[in-house]
Amino acid sequence: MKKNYMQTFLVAALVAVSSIALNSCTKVIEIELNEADRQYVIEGLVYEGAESIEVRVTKTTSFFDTSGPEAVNDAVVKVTMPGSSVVTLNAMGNGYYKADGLVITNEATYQLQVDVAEKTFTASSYMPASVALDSLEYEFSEGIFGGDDFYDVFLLFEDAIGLNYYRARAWVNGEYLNEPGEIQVFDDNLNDGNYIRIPIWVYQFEAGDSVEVELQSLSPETYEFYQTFALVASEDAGSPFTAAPANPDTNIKGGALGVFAAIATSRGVIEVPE
Amino acid sequence: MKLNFPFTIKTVLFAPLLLLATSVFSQTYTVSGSVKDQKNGEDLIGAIIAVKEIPGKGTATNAYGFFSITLPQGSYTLMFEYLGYTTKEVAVVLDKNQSLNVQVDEASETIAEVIIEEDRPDKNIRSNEMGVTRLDPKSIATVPVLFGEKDIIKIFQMTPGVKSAGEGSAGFYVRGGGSDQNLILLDEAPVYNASHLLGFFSVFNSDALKDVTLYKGGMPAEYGGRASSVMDIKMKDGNSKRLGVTGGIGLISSRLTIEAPIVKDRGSFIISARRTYADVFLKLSKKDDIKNSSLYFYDLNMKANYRINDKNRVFLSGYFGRDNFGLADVFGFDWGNATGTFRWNHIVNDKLFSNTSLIFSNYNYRFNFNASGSDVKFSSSIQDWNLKQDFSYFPNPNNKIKFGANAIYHTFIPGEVESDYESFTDTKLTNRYALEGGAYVQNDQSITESFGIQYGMRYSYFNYLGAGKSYTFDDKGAKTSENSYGNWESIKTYGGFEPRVSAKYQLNKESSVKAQVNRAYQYLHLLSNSTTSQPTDIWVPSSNNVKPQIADQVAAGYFRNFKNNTYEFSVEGYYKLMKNQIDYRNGADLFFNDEAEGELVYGEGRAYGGEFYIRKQTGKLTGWVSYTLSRSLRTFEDINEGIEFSAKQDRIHDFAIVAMYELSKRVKLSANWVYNTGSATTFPSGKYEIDGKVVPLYTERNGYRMPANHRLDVGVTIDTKKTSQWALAHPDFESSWNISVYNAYARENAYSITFRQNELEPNRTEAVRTALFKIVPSVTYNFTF
Repeated sequence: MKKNYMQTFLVAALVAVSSIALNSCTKVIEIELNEADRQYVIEGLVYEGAESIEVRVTKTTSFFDTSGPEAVNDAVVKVTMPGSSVVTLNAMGNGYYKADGLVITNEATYQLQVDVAEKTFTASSYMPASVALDSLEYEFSEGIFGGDDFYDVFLLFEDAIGLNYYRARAWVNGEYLNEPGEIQVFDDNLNDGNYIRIPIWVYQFEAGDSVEVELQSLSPETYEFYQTFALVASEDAGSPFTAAPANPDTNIKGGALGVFAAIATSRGVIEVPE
Repeated sequence: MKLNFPFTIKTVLFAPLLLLATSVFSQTYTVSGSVKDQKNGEDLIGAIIAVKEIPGKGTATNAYGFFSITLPQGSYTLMFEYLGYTTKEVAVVLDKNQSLNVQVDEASETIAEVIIEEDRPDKNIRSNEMGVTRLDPKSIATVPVLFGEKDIIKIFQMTPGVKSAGEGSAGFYVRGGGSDQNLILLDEAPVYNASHLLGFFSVFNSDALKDVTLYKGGMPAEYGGRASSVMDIKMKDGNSKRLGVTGGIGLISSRLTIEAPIVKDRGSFIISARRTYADVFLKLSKKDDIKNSSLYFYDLNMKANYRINDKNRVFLSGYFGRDNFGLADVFGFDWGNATGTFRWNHIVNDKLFSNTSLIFSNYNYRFNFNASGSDVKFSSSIQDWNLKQDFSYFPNPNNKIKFGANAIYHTFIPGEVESDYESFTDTKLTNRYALEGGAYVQNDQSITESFGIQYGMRYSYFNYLGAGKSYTFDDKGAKTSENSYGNWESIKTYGGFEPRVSAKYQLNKESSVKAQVNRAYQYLHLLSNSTTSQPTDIWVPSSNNVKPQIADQVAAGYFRNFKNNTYEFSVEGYYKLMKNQIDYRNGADLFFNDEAEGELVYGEGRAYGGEFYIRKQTGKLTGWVSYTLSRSLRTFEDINEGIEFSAKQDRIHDFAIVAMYELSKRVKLSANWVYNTGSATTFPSGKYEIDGKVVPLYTERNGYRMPANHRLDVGVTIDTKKTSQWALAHPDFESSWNISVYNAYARENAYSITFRQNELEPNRTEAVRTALFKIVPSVTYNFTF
């Protein structure tokens, strides 16, 4: 979590330096990019306590294409549940596949198989025990570098002993925080087994915001995916302050991009007063 | 691909035999002594001592201005030559060993024309070295630079074979090697992070520097520890004749240097300071958090020397520099180097010169932030103690032998974090220790009048020591085992021979051909998970996982001077293989990670190129034209599916013109123009959607190129008129205005190109180019008295 502060700080410092020059400038430019072979993309999410599983299958498009992802609607998508029962998901259109009426529990392994155009993709994901969100707190913070004042929202919870991997997601006034750079994943490497109080550092909240927070417990592979995904989904990807960009580490076997993740969750709501 | 190199120990053991191949004289005597600047008593490094009666015989002063030449009994005229100085002739009757201390005077414009006509230095033709660039900070004082900050590293970036690490960056790449493969020495002390302010400035204040030499390939055997190059920076000794003050007031920083004798002609000192003051403007802000912020760096160079007697002299030099960023009580971030060198020169006898150095170097950074009333503090450092003994032996004018040894004790403190945060456990990463040693012998020998060879052998040794831990990892980087070691217990050792040979054959008075082979080991590695240098980059020792980097290089060149040495021309070609190069796993987390070695992957590199250089050092118009055609490629099993890819610095064309023109006695114009192919970079070749976000699809590492960079900088330096009463009463006071414009035609060179979703149309993706500097004018006022 410190790394994120540091990165923010370095970028802020760079901005300060270039404003000394008074003429750093940013422009949208035309650039020619190669056309890569189309690849399959699978995003399958299994949430603790949900009654359905949704999987989306799409294909990559050329980078400057404006028509959105190419949906794949002719795949056969199956999920093997913890008790070895196999559920076939129904095609819902626009690349979505769904199965309802399921009982989804944690501390169990889920398996995915997608068959499409003579290709088979498989993945397996373990859903860890959930870590209960104890409470949420807000706190006033003065704006930095001349920015507006804002509120921090903190998650408070008792970390379980042993390495745990987390993602925090938030909804502000019902709207999912889904901008690039709003993916927050962290581990308990430096505070294993402690009572943890950690802010949502990817967003500055305002007075009057109604905030819903989800604390997700991830398997190491899922964490690895979201961590590497956050790097390329960020608008900083490719800037000199980041590593050479690469595709996120997927747990899907057979040559597709994306992730199949079984995620344990715990939720809470807080109102920041006017 | 297998990269092998035809080096064996046997092939270079022949070298010492050549030493005996010189003719034996019946009775010989030695003249030894020093060469100094008459005006301020500074030792002159590399001044030539030629014997008028025996053309082609001669020697040069060493790094301390010392020379020794042994000749048969007789009468001779010794000529002391130094570029820009009047050649001095001294008659000696050699019937016994004698010492001779010579002072030469800087040539006044008119005399220079005459003298230089007679005897222009042709060192680049005659010396046995190649792949060497030497710049005297004085000679490039008028070159226009960013913010008017004279920066020797930026000037080197415009010479062949040296590439800048990015617009405005003080980082550099030499002959395709990494930016951590340059050994940067300030009075023998390694400087671990040579950048200020995120790399826009180097830590070297030109006012305090005497001489800077960059070895791009043929590193003499006395240097060791980095794979690519050595930048040997020597600080001024200080005026031993009288008090001198030099200073400058610039747009973003000011400088002041004071030098004076301790005891006239026996000892002197110099103190040079520089500080930026951008943060002064922050104080003008009405907002408290901006007002209480800091944003500055400073450098302090200090040196003193004292001649105890004719045979002994001591030097003490130090450097302290620090960057300080702070935002009220929210963030604090500071980093810097401290180095210190104590040296003892001892003249053992007429032919044997000894130097003993005790060297200290430290780099650290600290970082703290305050979140909701709790403090988190972080710090990290690397520290060296180095004891070094060098000898120069001058048996006869045909051989200059150097030998010596050193031992460095490295302490790495990768990180400590403390906090009064409730949910935080104070943590300390495991410290690391290592001992690095080297021993060398080399000879610079003239075999015939036209054939010369410089050959040396270095043996280096590295011991990764306890107390500490070692880890093993599986091929995915997950830890498989851990071992603990006690104090001084050896965890892993490495060692190897590093042959360094270069030879010259002089075709005629104006041209020569040269060739060289050499090997260099590097036992320390800089981990940096970004494409630019950051203060938080960490140095790590070689270990059971990280093997020493090895660079093998062959090079050949043709050197030709025109118009009686007015123009120097050279073309050099090289081929270099680099083993045990380091890169990172996807999403590698190097920060505060005891097991960061698990995030590393290893591969090989190769680089090759041609360098063209024309330089004119005298006359009204001086400067150079430099062109480098080169490639730098890497092969990693775990990256790019094992297919060879371009290193970031794989820029094919690099072109620079640096010109300085003396319009009149008072007005000097200068300009430089640079052009280079863009850096290799990774751009997306498609896109897809996950979690409702558009994600770029990458297909190959560094498969694209940034747009080409080019830029013109211009400057003018005007000496102020000496007309006022005051000026006439103070003839020593000189001052000048330097006005320069960086990027004069406002080219928007891409600092970065990133990709994003269009705000209004989420399905539309666009490329965004950031250019840092358009036109940057600056004014500096310089004075000296």
